[in-house]
Amino acid sequence: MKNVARTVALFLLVFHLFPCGIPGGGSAVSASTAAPDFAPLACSAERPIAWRGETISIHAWLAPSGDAAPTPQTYEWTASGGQIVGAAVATWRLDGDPGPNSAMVRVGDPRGASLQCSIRVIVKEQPDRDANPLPRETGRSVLVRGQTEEKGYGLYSYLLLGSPPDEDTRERYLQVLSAYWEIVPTIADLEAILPRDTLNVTYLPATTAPASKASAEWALDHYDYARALALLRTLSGNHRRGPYLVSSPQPIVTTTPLLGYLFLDLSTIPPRLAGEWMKDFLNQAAQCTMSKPCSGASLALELRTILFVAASGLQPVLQGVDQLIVWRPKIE
Amino acid sequence: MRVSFAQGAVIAGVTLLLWTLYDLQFGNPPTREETALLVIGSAVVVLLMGWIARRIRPGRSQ
Repeated sequence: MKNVARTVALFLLVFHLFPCGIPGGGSAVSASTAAPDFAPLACSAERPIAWRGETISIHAWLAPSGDAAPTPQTYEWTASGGQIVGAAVATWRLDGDPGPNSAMVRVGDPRGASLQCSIRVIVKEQPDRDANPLPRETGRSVLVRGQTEEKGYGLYSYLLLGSPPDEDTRERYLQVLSAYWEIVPTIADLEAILPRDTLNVTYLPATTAPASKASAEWALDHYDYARALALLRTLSGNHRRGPYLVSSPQPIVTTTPLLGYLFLDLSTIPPRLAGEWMKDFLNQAAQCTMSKPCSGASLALELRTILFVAASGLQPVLQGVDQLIVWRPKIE
Repeated sequence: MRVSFAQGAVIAGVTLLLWTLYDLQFGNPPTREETALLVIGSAVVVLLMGWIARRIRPGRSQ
């Protein structure tokens, strides 16, 4: 009987010392300037561990002491990180640093008495969703004179020509425009399947809207060189040739210098390799970090271009050598 | 110009290198006349280097 009495006394002591020690990692500390009308105070969080930036709900409970009628209380929440909104039931947006974050509630009554209770929640960094993202797809669209870019795309690209074609550049322009027209699907087709923010819209500035059966020739005849020059002047350096492919996370504003963009200069590529270069652009734009080129694939394409140019130069060079030098017979 | 086969091969190689650099830099291949000038320039350089090599180490050259 004596042991039972001891056990009950110990239980009551523990209950008074740790009235809310179990749920949600909360704990209660009372600090009153006068005897409050309520006791004890308990508080807890929805979960003991949460992701950074997440909003969780937190609660403070109190029980009136004695038979006195409950008086209105004030709830004042403070947090070591993040923001708390609410009273007895509140929401805590966990914007603080990763690690243990604490919140404290001070519950007071009109007489000035108060109780405090604190909660501790472990904040973890959000898992890196961009570590293995899906590739971004590229669609084409004509940017008619006077029209502005539509909002909401993941990436904005432009196919820009620095000057009207001459006899040297016409073939290259046509081949690049053909590759653009044939390899890249329309943005409307892609938007029917994929969300807009996962798309790279590649605009072709034009003076008029295209007919249903537009082609590379149409694009060259109706190209808006004035708009292209206005867009190119936002880049560093001079760009009077072309074609160029420029990509930016935001639509290019023609009044401010463009920063952080992907730039592909196609002004010296062999016209026959225009399709390969267009595919290289699509691959680079597909990456989440599009400003970092795919060095391996790009190097291979550079080497292929050099080899292609050298091979096409072999015949004229041998002809030139043959015309100008005479082989000296071997002296025995 | 009368050159040996080895000298001709080197001249053709240097010319092809310059021809490729020209095309990659300007986006257009050199014209026939420009190619002829590249051959002459390469030949002058190659033959001059051969002459200098003979002057420096006469025993190793013909």
